[in-house]
Amino acid sequence: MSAHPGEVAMLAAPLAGLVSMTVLHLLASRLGGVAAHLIRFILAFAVGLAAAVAVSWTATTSLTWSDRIALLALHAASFVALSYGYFTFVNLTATSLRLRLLRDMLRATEKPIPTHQLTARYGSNEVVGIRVERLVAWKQLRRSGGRLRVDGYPLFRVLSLLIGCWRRVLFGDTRPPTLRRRR
Amino acid sequence: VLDPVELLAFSVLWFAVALVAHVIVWRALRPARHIGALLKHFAVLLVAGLALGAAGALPLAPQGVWQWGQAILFYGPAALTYISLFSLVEQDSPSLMMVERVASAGESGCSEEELREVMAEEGNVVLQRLLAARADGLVAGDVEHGWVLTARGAVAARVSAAAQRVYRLENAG
Repeated sequence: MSAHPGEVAMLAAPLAGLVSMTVLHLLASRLGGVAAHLIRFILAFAVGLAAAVAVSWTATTSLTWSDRIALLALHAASFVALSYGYFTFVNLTATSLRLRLLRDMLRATEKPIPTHQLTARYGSNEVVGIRVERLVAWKQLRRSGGRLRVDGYPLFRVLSLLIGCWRRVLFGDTRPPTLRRRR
Repeated sequence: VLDPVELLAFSVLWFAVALVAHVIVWRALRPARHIGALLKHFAVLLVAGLALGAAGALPLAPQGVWQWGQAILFYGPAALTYISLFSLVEQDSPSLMMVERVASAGESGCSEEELREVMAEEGNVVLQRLLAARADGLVAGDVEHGWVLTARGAVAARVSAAAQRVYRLENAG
C-alpha cells in the first residue's frame, strides 16, 4: 500500500517528539548536574513537544484548519502519553519504593532478607520526614504553629479522592486491593 | 477513509471501550497480578479492534496502514500510561495518604509525630509493596520467613539499577 509522504510524516510526529526528548534528556543527564532531575525532564519534554507539533503542522499544510487541528490534537495527545510513559520509567527508577526494595534484595548478602530489615530501612521516619518537606514546598500541606494542615482541595487531595472513586468502581472499596489480601 | 476529526474520535473511543471492558472484567474476575493482566487486556482489545476493523465490522474505522498506525500510536501509549498509573490504585501512595490524613484532621491539623504514628500503623508501605511485588511474581517469601528475588524480580532490579546509572539518578528522589 502506497502512502502519501505527508501521511508518513503525520504518523512520525509523536515518534519524532519522543526521540528528540529522549536524546536531549539522556544528554542532559550525562552532561548536567545530578540535582535537577525534574527540570531536565521538563526541558526535554518541551523540546519534544515542539518537535512533534512542528512535524505534525508541517506535514498537514494541504488540509483544512479543522482537520489540521484535529490531527495536531491526536499527535500531541499521543506524544504526551508517550512522554508520560517515558517519564514514569525514569522517575520510578529514582523514587519507586518497590524498585528500591528489589535493588536492595539484589545487593543483599543475607538471603532471604528478613522483613524487619526492609521495614526498618524504609520506616515511617524516613517516609514521613522527606515527604512532609516536599509536600509543604509543593503547597499540598501548610505548616503553622508546629502543626500541618490542608487548605481546601490541593492537587494531591483531589488525586486521592479520584483514586478512591476509581478503586470503588473497580473493586467496590476505596482501600487498595493489596491491603485486603494481606496475610 | 476517515477524516482527521473522525480519526481522533475513533482513537479516543477505542481506548474508552478498552477502559470500560477493563472495569467489567476487573469487577467480575479480580485478577491477582494486575499489571500483567492489564497488559494482556489492552493487547487483546488492540488485536480485537484490528480484527474487527479488517473484517469491516466497525461502522467507523481507519483505512489503510497509516491511519491505523496513527490510531495505534494513540491507543498504545494511552494504555501504557493507564497501566503505569495503576500502581496508585493497586497500593497507597505515602504522599497521598499523608495529605488525606492531615485533611481528615480538619482545622486542628496534625503534628509530624502523629503522622509518623499513623504511617507506622496503617501505612505499612513497605509491606504493601512487598505483597504487590509477590503478586506480580517479582519476589517470593512472606513476613515470617523473609523475602528473595525471583528470576523476573532480578531482571527488574538489574534494569532499574542500569537505568539509575545511565540517568545518574543515584542521589535523586
